[in-house]
Amino acid sequence: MRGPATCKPPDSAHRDLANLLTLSILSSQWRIYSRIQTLPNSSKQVKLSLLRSAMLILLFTSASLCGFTALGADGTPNQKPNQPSNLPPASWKIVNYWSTTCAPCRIEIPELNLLGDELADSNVEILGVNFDEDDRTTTLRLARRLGIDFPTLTLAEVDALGLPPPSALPTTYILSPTNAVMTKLVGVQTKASIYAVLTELAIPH
Amino acid sequence: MQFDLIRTLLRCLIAAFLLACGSAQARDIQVSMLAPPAAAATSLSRLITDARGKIHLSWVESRDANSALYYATLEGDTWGQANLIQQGNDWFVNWADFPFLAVTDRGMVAHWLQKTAEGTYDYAINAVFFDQEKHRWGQPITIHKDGVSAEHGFVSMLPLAEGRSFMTWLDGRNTKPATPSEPGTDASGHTMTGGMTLRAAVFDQHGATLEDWELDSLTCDCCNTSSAMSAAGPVVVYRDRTEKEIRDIYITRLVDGHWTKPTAVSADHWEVPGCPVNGPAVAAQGHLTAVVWFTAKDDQPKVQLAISQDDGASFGPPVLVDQGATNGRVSMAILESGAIAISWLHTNGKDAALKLALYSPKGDLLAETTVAATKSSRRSGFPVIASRGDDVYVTWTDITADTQVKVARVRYKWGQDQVPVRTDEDEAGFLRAGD
Repeated sequence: MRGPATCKPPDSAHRDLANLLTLSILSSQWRIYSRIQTLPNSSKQVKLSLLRSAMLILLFTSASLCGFTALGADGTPNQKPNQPSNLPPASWKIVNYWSTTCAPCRIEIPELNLLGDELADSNVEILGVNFDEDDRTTTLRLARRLGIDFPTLTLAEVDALGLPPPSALPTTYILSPTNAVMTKLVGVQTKASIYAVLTELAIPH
Repeated sequence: MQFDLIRTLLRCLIAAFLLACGSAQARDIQVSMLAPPAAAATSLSRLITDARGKIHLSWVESRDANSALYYATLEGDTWGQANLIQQGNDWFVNWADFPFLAVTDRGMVAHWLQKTAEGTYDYAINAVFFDQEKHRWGQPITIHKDGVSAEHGFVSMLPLAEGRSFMTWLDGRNTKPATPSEPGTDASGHTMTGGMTLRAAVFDQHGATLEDWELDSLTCDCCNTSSAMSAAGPVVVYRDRTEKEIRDIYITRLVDGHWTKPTAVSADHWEVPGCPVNGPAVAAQGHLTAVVWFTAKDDQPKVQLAISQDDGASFGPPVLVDQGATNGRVSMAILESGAIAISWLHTNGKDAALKLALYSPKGDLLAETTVAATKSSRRSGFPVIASRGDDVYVTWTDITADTQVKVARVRYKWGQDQVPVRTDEDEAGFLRAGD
């Protein structure tokens, strides 16, 4: 079980500034990338590599400023003890789609809760998504009733991840720190099955 | 220069070819929006056609915790007044599992899902029957008599003669163990050891159960069922679940008082250890029975159509309706002419197009159009179609601003050289006018 939230998410002005920064970074990166295309092949490799590193650093910085406002089942920003209020931007993510009508979803929730507790000090975060896309109040109420201890994403946060909607429930995605889909798991998961996949994908946990 | 000339010639040839093909299609497809009787904050709409050919729309209005089920009847092109069927603040309201209305020769019946106190997400199927003599709805009854607090839902209904009605539903009575603390159970005692079942029953006009059956002891947990009346009797289609987690579409039929052994409409072999929340639709007219469904074997989404000329006893090979960018959510109706109308969602990221296609009873595509732009979000619900004559009526939930039920009428105008005609002599075929 996670502790209660003690920090506030970033204010909107802070987030707007960060969004602006991200946009300008992406725009500059694109201009540089276009110029690189005109260079000879040998120079391209070096410069592309430098560009990638710079991009990652800048994106992580802006993501920290933006704040990832995942909320706990009680609607407050969810956090681990002794950590910043927001999710670490570079965390691996286990994203679990659930629905109240999905019996196997409910079966796996206790396992995912346990897994979340065990991964609390790692760089892997478990996040929930209400497949039924109910409004936020209903979603949080349902999450409480289902006994979900891990944070439930808002619709906007789900959109931001850009995941393809699952064609069956339950579905669990494992995402890289850059939100690339590493694998998609369909069906009931257990702690053991997720640990096996994390190991197979060489994800530190 | 020469290449330009060749390209232009090729374009002309292709255009001429398409024009020639066009004569076999509907010349004009008119999509008209009908002013809906439902206001804002409405969703979960369904259309049905009664035995007299009247179109009825049902929908749910949700305000705060209160849900209210309404219906209205189409008179000409105008909806009659909205009539309240039932309301409550303890309903289970879900985008994929929503109320059904059936109109019989002696009244009406409608259902909703009622949360039960014992389980945190258990719900029962409650129904009310309309008493025509007293001109009012009767007291709600629970249609299943198991007395188990579990999941029950995904109802489909058919009106029968003498005011009787047929209902089929998914029934979770076997998903509850004797002791809630049994391993493998969730917080409210659901277990994976007992499967979701498919059940059906016939009710008299007051709601008394006349017959009751278990049709399948293991089905997919959360896909809608569908039923239709063929010349041989009722047919029920649903998403099956095998021990090996194959979740294909199955059919069972009531023939001479006995339900046939469920069989696959098409051997898709979609193995998926989860629920797609995407059930099939069936329609029947005479011996013609058609089924449309979503499948996604190997992560390849498809909408497919299968047609039977013998009341659903056997089906031809599946006809591909759409693939790739689709999330299914199918509906179906058979027009007076015998044309098979299918609706589904064609997706483009967060956006979707509500598509409507007409197929001949032999499976040839006759016409296809986009009825409306919508969203692929679950909140846009399952669009439903019904037909009157050769017009198709479509309802869906618009979520662009508020959630609001929409209804459109789609009318086909055919070219002179091809009018879809269904005759007694050629029940399964389309005859060219003048043949």
